[in-house]
Amino acid sequence: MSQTTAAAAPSPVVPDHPPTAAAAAREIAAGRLSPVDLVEACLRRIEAVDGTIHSFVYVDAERALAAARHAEAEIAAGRSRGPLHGIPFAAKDNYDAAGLPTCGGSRLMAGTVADRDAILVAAMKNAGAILLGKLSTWEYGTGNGGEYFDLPIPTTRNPWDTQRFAGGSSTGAGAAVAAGTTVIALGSDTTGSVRLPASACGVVGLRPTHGLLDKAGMIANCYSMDVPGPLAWTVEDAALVLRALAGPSATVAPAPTRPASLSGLRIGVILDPGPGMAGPDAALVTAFTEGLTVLEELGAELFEISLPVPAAECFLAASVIGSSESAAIHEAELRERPQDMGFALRDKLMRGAMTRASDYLAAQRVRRMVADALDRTIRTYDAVVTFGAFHVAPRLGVEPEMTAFTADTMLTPFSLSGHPSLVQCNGFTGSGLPLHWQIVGRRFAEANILKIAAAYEAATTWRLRRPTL
Amino acid sequence: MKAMPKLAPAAPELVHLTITEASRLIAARRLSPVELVEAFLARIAATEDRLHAYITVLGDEALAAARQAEADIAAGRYKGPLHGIPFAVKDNYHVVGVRTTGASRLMLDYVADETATAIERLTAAGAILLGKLNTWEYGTGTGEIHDDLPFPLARNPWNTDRFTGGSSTGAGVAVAAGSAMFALGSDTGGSVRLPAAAAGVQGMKATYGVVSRAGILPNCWSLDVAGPLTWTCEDNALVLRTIAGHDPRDPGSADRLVPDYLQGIGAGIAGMVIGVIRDLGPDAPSMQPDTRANLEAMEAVLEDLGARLVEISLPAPLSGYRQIVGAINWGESYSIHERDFLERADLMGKALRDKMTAGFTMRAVDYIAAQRRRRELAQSTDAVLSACDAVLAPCTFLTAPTFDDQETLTKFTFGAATSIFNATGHPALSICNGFDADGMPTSAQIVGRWFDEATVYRVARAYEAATPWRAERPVL
Repeated sequence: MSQTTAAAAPSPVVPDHPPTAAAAAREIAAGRLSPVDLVEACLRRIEAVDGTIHSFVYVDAERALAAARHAEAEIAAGRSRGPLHGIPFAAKDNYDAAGLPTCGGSRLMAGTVADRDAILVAAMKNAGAILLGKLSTWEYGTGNGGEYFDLPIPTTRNPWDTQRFAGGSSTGAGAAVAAGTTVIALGSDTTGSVRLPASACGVVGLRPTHGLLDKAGMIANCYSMDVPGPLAWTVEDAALVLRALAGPSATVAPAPTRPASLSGLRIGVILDPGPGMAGPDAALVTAFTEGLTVLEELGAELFEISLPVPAAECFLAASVIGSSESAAIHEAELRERPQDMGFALRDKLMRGAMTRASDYLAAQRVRRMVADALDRTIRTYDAVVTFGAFHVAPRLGVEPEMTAFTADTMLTPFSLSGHPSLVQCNGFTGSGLPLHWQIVGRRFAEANILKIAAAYEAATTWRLRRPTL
Repeated sequence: MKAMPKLAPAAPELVHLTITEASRLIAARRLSPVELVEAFLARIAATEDRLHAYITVLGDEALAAARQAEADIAAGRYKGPLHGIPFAVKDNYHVVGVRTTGASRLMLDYVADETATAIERLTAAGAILLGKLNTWEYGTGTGEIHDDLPFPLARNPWNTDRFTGGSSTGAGVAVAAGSAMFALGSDTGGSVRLPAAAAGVQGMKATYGVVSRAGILPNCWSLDVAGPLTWTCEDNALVLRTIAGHDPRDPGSADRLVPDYLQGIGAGIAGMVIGVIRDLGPDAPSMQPDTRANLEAMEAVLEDLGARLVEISLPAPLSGYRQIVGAINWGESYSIHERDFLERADLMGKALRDKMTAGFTMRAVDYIAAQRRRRELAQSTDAVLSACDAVLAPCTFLTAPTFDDQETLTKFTFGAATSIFNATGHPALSICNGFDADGMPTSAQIVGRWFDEATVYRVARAYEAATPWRAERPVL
């Protein structure tokens, strides 16, 4: 396909991919790029590659183009709504969007059409962003990592290697951003569902502080851990989206541009997940170590700290909480239509339905202990850097690598504790699969982790590489 | 129990002072804290064989604290209206170095290594701890009396053949009988308000989160509220003002400023809109005629005082709230006592063992469903309550029954309208509103908006001042 959009000088431009939101915004502001061109570029990209990667479950080309023409007219009339005006985005199919189906990747919801936007979809539209459609997801955001090829939608494929998994449960979100079928994606993260797709696909995935963003109009998976969050190609884009999502009343710092220095920042480093869990792949360890050197060169002071509770115990507590709350949400469907569920959801709900209240409460008590202990640690630093997943994107359908990718992570401690965390690409394997790390901040201090991630991104070249499809 | 010091005969005129009256005398140095504490210890000595309000009496410690208070006050170091005022706490509050039993055979030898924040705040204000009060085992019971706990049953001072209300069984008794000037209890489904109702005293369950539970044995984290029982509403406001306020030691503690509940407490209720809840649904217990008559008379008094009464109805029947409170309590309580239940269930009384059995078999989805329903009901109930300045609701549907009538005992406790406000978190005060034909006190609840204890007290105080009920004390 041909590249129709003009490129901004400092932004990484790869043929066939749309520009980043920040770059596009600069071009739009300068009158060199129209939202219509931008939306058309994404639609062409969808047409060209989505038959292979299956990031979208529903594309609303007609309304997107109409919105783009409207944005073009507004901007031409001097009524710009800001940097997201005219920028294409897509939402995981557990967000409602007025007039579009919401299926949550499930046969149980076939034929359901939303009559209003989820709060966050509305927030994006208010900021001028243009909804392209809905992105693939595991059924109700549920999976143990295994791929059972039993959902009503095709399995999303990793754009860096289509024989590999794209990460779940926001399966389409990471793939879409990496492949350039959208500029911005909205996902949701219970125990890693924004951060795992970001890890697998080499993009930025942000899980904000629990409670910062409004979940109204989204399909619940687990009340006490669900957090919506953006996936984007760059840190700056993720920050722009976070500001739009958090709303004018929230105190979210402006998007970082390119901080040259991190001097004065004290960053904790967690290396060891503790007993009971396989540690990170060698390639991830190498990239992590090199990344720390970059942070030091940028002036940050690093301190090795330890995880107060083993990651394996956090994973166990999160599993009990997740399956119990999910079963409470979907109990009637489990009783009445289990045959319409995929294996992963049915398996989780059956476990949840048989969990005793005392085990759920014990898990919540462990969670409080983990959250308090982590908070005491994190509060004494500006941010903490650690691993995300311990493996690169696994081969689709190959066990045990599939379930290991989702289970062996440093992600659940922060799902339990509610601290904001961001996953970011920090290199590639020899065979070209993206590597990543995780940056965690104090509660409601997304600004710090965005600043660190932006500085790291600016100091490295990883954003110049895009998957070839 | 400690040996009682030898003392002069009881001085009922001292033990029946209100806190406000006693502190005026103490501040004016016309009453010594030592004299006051001695009077209470004498009263305890004279009544305990009939009332069994106390599990532990801290006579020597209380006298030492009284002498210190006397010296401090004499030296001009007067700490304020609670200085030298004797009180007692339900035996689920910890005090460093003192046994906490929770009235359980599981804890008979347990000596606490911490002090409850509420007690620390009271002693810092100069109040003097007399001892630890009787309770149902770990605050648990449906009302049935099994008499299978390690301590004798507390008895109602208005008639010792009658029940005291639970679970803070000793707390209402001690305040009514004058064996403590005020008491602290804890309320999961009514355990402050029911003993207050049975004994004709005023018991406050403040908004969830206002009073720290740190250092108190938990019964059910998400419902437990600690609160004071006092003879008058003004005294109650004084004690709550002292114990309320954020405490990082309690994860459920609300981080907000505590208003001075005494400010404007006497301003009257002219022009206030007071909602009246008369009908609690088809499955609420039938109301004893005298209780009903006193509730209706109370409405008339509030109207005479200038309030506008508006009948309101709750979004669910009483049973809807009670089921939620039951399910949440079973689940959380079992989570707390799981190990004891698995290893030493034989030491538990029947009421606790029954609850553990229910909790043991409960599924997570049912607990979560109860919490979801609770949230919905809290919001829909708040929408109704917050349209009024305050609300008048039934408390118990009958006066304290005799110990031998299990069915009526359950109706008194399990059937009461108290659990509604544990489910929703609203502040609710149980207030004496008269007596039945047998001379047993009747009660009602005054309920407020979230964190608006001040208005609850203002309404209660206006009613109390307009009625003669505070003039009567039980004769022992």
